Amino acid sequence: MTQPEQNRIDPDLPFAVTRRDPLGIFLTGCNRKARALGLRPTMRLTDARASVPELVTRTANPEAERQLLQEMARFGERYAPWIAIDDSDPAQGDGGLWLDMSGGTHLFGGEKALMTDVGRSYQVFRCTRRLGLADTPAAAFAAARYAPGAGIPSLLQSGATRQAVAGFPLDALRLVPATIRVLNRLGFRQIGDLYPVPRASMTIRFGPDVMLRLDQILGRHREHLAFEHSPRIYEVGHVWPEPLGTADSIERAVQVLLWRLCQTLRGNGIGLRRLGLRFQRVNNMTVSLISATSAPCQDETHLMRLLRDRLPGVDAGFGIEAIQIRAFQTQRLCPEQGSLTDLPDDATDPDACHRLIDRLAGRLGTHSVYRFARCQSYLPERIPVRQPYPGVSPEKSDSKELPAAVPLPVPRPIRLIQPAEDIEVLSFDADKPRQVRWRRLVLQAASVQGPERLMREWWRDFHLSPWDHRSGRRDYYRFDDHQGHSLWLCRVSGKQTASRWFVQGWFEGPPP
Amino acid sequence: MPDTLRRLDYARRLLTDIERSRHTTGNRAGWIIPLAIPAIDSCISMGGINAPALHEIHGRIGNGVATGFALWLARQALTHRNGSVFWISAPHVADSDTLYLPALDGELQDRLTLIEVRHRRDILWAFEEVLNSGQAAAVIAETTEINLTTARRLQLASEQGHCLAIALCRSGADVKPANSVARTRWRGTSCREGWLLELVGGRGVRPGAWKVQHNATTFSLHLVSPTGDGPLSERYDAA
Repeated sequence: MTQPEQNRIDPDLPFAVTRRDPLGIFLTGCNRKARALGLRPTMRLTDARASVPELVTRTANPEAERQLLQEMARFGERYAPWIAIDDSDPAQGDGGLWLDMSGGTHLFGGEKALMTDVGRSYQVFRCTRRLGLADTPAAAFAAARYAPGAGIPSLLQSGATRQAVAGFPLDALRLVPATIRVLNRLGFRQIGDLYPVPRASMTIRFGPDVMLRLDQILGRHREHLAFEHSPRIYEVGHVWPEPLGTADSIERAVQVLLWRLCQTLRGNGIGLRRLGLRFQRVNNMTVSLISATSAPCQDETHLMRLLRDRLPGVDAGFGIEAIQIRAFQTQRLCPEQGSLTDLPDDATDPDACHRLIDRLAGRLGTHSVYRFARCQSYLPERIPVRQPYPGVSPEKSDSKELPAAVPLPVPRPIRLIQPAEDIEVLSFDADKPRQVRWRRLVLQAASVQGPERLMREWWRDFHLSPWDHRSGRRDYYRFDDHQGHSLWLCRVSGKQTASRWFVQGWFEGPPP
Repeated sequence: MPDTLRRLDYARRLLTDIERSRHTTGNRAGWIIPLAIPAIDSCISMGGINAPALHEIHGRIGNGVATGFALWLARQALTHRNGSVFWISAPHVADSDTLYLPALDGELQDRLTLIEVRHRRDILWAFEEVLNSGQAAAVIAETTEINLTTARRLQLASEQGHCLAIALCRSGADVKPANSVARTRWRGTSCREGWLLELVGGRGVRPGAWKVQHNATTFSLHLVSPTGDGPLSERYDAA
């Protein structure tokens, strides 16, 4: 582990990493000196201190450990593209890496030479290393940890795994400690002891785990490893010897680079969701542009069309000498079969629809294209919720379903005024408005329907004071006059305030 | 004299036929949305609201007849081709009122995509863009008055995208809408019996005004009888 000088621990001192859990503080990893003094992982710190008072300890940092393992995995990509991290047992305090070298050892001069090379090159991480090579991942795990002769790279001959692992202790099977304890008590000490036992009786007594692990180590059952894949970065760039100054030349340059990027994407079956452009000016200033698409896209014509509106906004200054285009967000793209019928129906082409949405969202902003969703509320202005068009904002989940539309018990106005407008009621007819003044017009009621009482939900808007008109109860009336006004009036009456009248919308026409 | 009349009649019919055939762009036939009211349909040479074409509906503050009529047309367009309905609005064009979505029926709610435009100049851009894309069955845009050039562009775009274009204009009660090349131009106001639809202009139309009732369950329009007895068909249905 590369540590600053002052934090470095003398390897001659017994050292352990500790982990705190509800039962106390335990050791997780010990160095060679500590092991030689009899300390083991999973030991209590108090016990360890009692036997080795000079023990140096540090608290475990799982985050950093994981990071280091990932760094090591990336480092190992020089040997094989298939690398998996083994951190299945953090209590043991040691991490592992699996390299799948199938068919690749000859590139490094054979298995033995490969192991020497791996051992040497991982020295830079300043960790104790143990190497094992075998036919199956589980056997390699066992070979690295339990092969006789600590520290020597152990190589199990291909095809001879059964004999090679027979002498390993049961711990090499990666079983639960309790199971191992019981098995030990029953007289099973080595993996080879399990070979003659009938599968059925073992499964009945211990569940499927023991036989599964045995199968995995012997290669009878395939083990699935979570291979680490460093995300591939799709990026193109170019530096021009002569700075680009005109809008035309910049556009041409972007076009060429986009084409190159899309070629790569097409070759890999990847679609682009978010694109970043970086223009570097001659005076070392940079200008950047970000553009997003609502569906994975590999089409440079479409991307160019999205960018064409924005490129004039790039200030070239004294000239642009380098352009970098990078795919910030990508997505796997499955080619879809087009319609088999020969009807020229553009509307069923989802690509065309996404392209349209991209263009609209690109120019008007991502929040300006939306669909209708319903919020459960009694207050009319709260019901409609804007839902971003599926795929417009890459951060939002795309799979959210729109709730089904529920027919309203009473007709609602087709247009809503937001915020509601004040209206003056001039005269009443049995608690219903008869004459109102709205926008300097005096309207005489032809028919008034209502009231319909709606209230805010009691669990909302605690912050509203009782004097706020939004907190009161509302009575809605449908008000029609002879001049063709069809208003939705609302009286808000609070507990401590006089009632106020509002117009909140208008209907298509008078009630039938 | 009768001969002249006959020739005039023949010329009219010929003109209608030409208009109808011109209307099929490429191999895709246009469609016609009849209002299913003979009195109104007979006033339009095409026999209904035709698409792809631009139509104008003028509305007034205080009632939503124009909005309702535009949505009714969009709903009918959905039966003729698939695609969605786009609603383009700008906060400053409308007063302070917006389309209230819970008032719409479920199918329209599902197929409606809303576009809110912040700047006035973007309304027509978005309108043309959506029309051109061919993804919409109908596009409704809340705009102010549109001039001749714009209307012509929108007309071409709607033919390109093969969809119904509706410009929903907000105008005062007594303002006569300026000239435009929209195929039909309507003014929607409310009357005591229901909608008052005025056909104020267009190509090959005879202007008129009708009182119409909209049935929100069957999505059909009925003419209100002048005697005030309510729609005839309803009485027949009841009988």
